[in-house]
Amino acid sequence: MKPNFKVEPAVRQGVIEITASYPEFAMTDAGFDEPFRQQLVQSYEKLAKTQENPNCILTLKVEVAGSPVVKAIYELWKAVRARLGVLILADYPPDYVRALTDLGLPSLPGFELVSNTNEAREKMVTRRTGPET
Amino acid sequence: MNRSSNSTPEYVRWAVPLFTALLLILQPAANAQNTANLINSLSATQQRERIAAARELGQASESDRQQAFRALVDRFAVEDKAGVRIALLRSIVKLQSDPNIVVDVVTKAQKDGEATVREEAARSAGRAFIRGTPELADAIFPLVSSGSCDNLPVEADSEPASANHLLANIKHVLLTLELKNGMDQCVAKMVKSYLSRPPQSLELLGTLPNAKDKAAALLLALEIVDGCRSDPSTYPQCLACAKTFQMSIAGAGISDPGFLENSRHLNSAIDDIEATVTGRKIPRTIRRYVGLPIVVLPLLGMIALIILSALLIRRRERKVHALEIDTIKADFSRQLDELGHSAQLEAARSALKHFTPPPPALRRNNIEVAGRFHQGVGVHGDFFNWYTTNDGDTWLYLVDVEGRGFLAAITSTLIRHVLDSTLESAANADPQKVLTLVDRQFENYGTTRDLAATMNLLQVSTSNKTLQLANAGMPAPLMFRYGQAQPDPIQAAGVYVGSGYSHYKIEPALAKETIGIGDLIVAFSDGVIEARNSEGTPWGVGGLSSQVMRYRDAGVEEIATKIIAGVTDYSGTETAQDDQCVVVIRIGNNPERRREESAPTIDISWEGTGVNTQVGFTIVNSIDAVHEIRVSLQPTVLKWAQRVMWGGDIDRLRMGVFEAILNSLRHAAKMGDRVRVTFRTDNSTAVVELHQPSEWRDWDKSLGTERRAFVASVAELKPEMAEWGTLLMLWYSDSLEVLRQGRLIRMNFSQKWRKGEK
Repeated sequence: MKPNFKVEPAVRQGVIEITASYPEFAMTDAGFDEPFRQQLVQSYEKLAKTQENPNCILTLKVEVAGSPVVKAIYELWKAVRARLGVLILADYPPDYVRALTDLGLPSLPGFELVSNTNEAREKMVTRRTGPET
Repeated sequence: MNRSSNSTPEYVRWAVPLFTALLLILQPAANAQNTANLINSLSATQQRERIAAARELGQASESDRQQAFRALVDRFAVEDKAGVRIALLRSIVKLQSDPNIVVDVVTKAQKDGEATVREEAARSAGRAFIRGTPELADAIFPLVSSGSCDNLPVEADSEPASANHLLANIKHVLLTLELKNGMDQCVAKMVKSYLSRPPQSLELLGTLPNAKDKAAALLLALEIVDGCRSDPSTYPQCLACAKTFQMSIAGAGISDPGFLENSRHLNSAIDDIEATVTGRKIPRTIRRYVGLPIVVLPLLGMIALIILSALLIRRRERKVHALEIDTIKADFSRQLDELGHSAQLEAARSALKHFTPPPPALRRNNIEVAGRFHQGVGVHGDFFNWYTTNDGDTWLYLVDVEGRGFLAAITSTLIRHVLDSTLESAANADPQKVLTLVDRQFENYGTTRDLAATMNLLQVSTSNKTLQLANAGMPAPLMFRYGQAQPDPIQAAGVYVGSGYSHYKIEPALAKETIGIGDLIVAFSDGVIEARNSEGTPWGVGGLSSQVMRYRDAGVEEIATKIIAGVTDYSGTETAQDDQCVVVIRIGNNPERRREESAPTIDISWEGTGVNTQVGFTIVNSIDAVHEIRVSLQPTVLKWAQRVMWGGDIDRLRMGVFEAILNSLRHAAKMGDRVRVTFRTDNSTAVVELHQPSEWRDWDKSLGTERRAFVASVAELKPEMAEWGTLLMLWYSDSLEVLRQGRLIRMNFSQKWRKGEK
């Protein structure tokens, strides 16, 4: 049985917002990683082609997160940075932030970790709308 | 020369019919007065008087006389009797005062005895009259000299021997004279009448190159060459002579248009004969009989082809028309059949709805049951029902009747009645015995095997925690045990009820299963798993299982609904080919209690006290595993770690173990397999061991010496590394061992701050 994950891209006030969710058992499914990663990146690329602002907010509506998710976020960050944008990660489950930190994502340039989507939006407003160099 | 005196008695003999004819002829032409007089005079019976009346015609008025003359001429043209013709000619000569007109009329008098009249007319007009060739031969010189040829032609067939004499005279004329005033035409006329055929004509043609009058010679040559065409045997000689003549006139230098035109005609005639002689052209005489068919036959062929085509087209149109009529008839017949069939199906649906209605969902403290039914394009007679007995057992049956339409509906109604009555009277029997009794009931009814049905009959006893199933040809129900990833089929077997279920023993006839809180049982008809997608692949038990696994935590009604929705989505159409029937049974009804009371996904055991406390977890690999790890394992581990570790070490251990367990469930255990994780202390080290059922085959690649050396050498993990979970295990643990060919993973976490010792 394949995990029924959801990736919902949208544009809000000129900013690309991607909301992702997946069931808990996705973490134990070896077949989850690649489709989820592809879906995240493709959703961003599709919207980024039509937007001037390459920045992106990724919100995870999940209970748990492991290394497969961290790697998917890292791939999305690479796509955003390729367009000189900023990726703000929101709602990452707090109990699993340490793995994200230890794998070095928060220290990446153009990557920010915030507690929720509203905070991410506020941060995005204070940023320049153009590409970050 | 004068032969008229010999014919006098003829007038008397033919007088009566002659004047009778005159009366009839002249009557419409004369004016009233003269006609009356004429009739009165002609009505006399005396011969002499009638003759006198005829003579008086000459004294009639000019108008009457002209009318009478024209009537006589017309009458003469159609009269056959010789006596009457001569009498008419005499009257014509008498009536007409203009001699030239008379000559023109009498020229047509060419029958025996009429030459006399012609001669009389010619002489009265002052013209020469030649009776035949001998005369002509002698008269040709005076004729040509006088310039008058008015009385030609003459008798055509008189004394042919004189033709040579005529030929000699004509040759002489041609060699010595230039023919003026139309005499060339006159001579040509003579040649045409008397000398147009060989041998005289060819002899004359041979003379023509020396003729003095070239134009007249050309006319004669045309006549002669034209005469040659009737006899192919003369072609070579005729051609030679004509060519000689042609050459003789080629240098004549005559520019008269008439001459040039005749010259072209002659050239054309010579070419025509020459082509015939050399075989380039079919002779005219032959062309007459051959050429016609050459032209006519293709024409007839084309006409025949057109007619044939028209007939074929008409025949084809008739066939098409007949086919169209047949199609319309067939459509009409089919529509009638469909109407009848639709009416029958509608009646069958009404009967099923009325007699075998789906029961409402069952909700009790220890069991929940719901079903859904999706009717196929025909009425196939699937139905289900359940009820609870006084001792708390629940009986359920799911039936699929053989056949379709109204008969299937009736059969369904009958089977339901038999099933219900049998269950009521045999409540203490097991499902196999009940189906046996139902089969016997059908035998008692004396029915044929047309009433056969497949069915599942389940007895669920929550008090005894058992389930019994008898199956007569239906797909095996699926048991989704709580905490177990994959379902197990509940196997029982038997032939159709109504086809000898009670006689043919097939094992296992009765299936017995233990049940626990949270278990899910799904019974279904073959229409569910046999539904096919556009590629023809059936949904199968696999598709059904996946759908149930996805919604297994939902209520039984929603699960049943989702199953029907899933099979509909899969087949891509709302129109099912077969009835689709599903019944979902859940043991227990409270999800929270289910987790507490059922066999846990994680089994936790504690041993020892204080820092020597050991804790163990047995994790069943299922879709609930991560959830249980999060809500059960991690708090427990935290509780244990707080006894033996301090601060940041605790979180390091928590994250390292979490990634290790995920790694084990992802790569070293199938769904339903169990992974055991134990936590203990060894001096100042926390030891975590994972026992996993499958080998971690590429552990050396992921956890080999090189990787470990790299991890030890860097202060911060690099995201570019491949196996991030493995990296985290290496990063968080102080050391990591892979034992028993990858079936045992041991992680050591040194306690930097042992609790109570800081």
